[in-house]
Amino acid sequence: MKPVKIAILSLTHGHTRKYFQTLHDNPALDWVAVSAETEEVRDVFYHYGYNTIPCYMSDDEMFDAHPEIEAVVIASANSRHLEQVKNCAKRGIHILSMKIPTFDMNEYAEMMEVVEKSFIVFQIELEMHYNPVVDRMKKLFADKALGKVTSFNATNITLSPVWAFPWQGVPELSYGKRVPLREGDHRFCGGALCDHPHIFDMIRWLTGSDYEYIYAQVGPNIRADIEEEDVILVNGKMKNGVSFLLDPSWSRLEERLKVPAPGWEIFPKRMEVNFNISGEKGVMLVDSFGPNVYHNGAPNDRYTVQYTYFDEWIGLIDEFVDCIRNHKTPMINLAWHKRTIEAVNACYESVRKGQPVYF
Amino acid sequence: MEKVKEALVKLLDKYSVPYTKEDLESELPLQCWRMNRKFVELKKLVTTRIVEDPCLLRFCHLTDEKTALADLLYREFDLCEYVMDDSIAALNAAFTDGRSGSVVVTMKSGVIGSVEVGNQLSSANPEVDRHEIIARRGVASDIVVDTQIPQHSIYLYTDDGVQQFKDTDHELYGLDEKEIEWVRAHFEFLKDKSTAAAHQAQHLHLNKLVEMAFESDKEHKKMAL
Repeated sequence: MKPVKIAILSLTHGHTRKYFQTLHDNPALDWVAVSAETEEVRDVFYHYGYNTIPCYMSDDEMFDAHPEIEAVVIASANSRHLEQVKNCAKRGIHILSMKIPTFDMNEYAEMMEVVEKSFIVFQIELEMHYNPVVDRMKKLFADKALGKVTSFNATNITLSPVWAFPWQGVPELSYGKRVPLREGDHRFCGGALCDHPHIFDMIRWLTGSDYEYIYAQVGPNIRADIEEEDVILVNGKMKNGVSFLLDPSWSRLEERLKVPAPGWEIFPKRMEVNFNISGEKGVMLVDSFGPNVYHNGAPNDRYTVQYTYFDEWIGLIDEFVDCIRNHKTPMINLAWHKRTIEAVNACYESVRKGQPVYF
Repeated sequence: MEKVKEALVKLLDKYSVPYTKEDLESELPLQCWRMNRKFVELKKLVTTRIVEDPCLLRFCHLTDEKTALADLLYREFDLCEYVMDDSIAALNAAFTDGRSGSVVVTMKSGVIGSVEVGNQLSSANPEVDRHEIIARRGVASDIVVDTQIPQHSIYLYTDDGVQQFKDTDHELYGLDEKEIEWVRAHFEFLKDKSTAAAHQAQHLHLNKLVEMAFESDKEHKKMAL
């Protein structure tokens, strides 16, 4: 199969660095170039050692220099996605989008339209679908190991990335606009909730059902100096009667590093996606990122989880290449993902109203 | 065996790694456990000096009777050397009935280590292993603090009892941990066959260490290479 000629745009998203090794190693890809939004971002990219990959300071400059580019990973702030999608669609370039295409449903509709008209592949990066523990969980669900599922409780809790990826701390860049969380609250939409759509997607995928209603409540921030929510709890019910509790908080404290590095975490485990699922036959406890290796060494002599089994980006990219070369529709496409984005927006609506929101 | 070979071929084809039929039949001892990510990460913690200046290793591996004590020793001795990038210079072993016991090893660097082995675990239970590196700065381990047994990713509690699952490799989903080690080891080797002599030399060296361990137990003497 002819390798897909691929590039990365912007380099400002927190997941950007996860792609470097896969793009470099996978023979189904030919990594052509990257574009960087700032010189600082470019310098960080070169710090990772991929000095043979040309780095341009604008998307258009890169596309003009490399008309052979067939596909891109859009690794930018959420607020830039529509403009970049339109540019790629115009050029017939396939897109691997970060987990939030946009929170603005008018923009979302526009994206769907341009993607449909240009016949490009548009895959959304929900990497949990390529996690081996989730593979097992999907099989156990398919085998009905728990019988009828009754409740689905999940965490997607992490440290806050806002110090290393500042756009995530700016409501206009993360949520797309400056919207107060609720009357009398000094904070704005765009924080932890916007960073953690995975569990909102996974419950739909695993239960095969849709949201009936959703309730969300924000707490006082752990980080008093950021202007978005960092702890938030969500519960509600699916249409098939499954009750759920979702925790998408930034509830693990971090050192305020500008570039992620060892010692970033203060709490030993910087990221957790766990599930407690009950059904008529029993209970399933799942840790998608465990077990691991542990240490209390440099740089901070704190007990630390050293992530050990972590290869989601390989399967994600394999699917993207397969869709491009074999004209398939990705598992997580714009049409499927729309409800997940609507669920996140419903959480903000619930916070604003102080009551559950029905779909 | 056919299942793992099939998985290996799939991986070789995916990454365009050339191979022959003979390559797939090769019985070169590859010390496959080195491919387990937990040992790769432990080694990385040592070599990148996240844990600085190791002094003591505490390794343990308990299985059921299907695994010979010699095989457990072979693996754990190799892991001492692989993780530490060092070699065992001397050892003193004490076994009972050829089924369980311990070895105190001294590495060339002076680091010491305990290797607990045994094959008297009930076959109804999963293997237990633990690898802990104690350094002047920091401790690294493959089990969680304040626990005694390795963790799993999924626990399923039903009327049929508890089922545990540990899936670690999306590309090789469906294979167990040891099968994954085998496939990854052969895949890495076929990408770079120049390591053949090193694997063979290590095999001979480890066999010698295992022999020394049984001799040490028999003679009640510390043995040095």
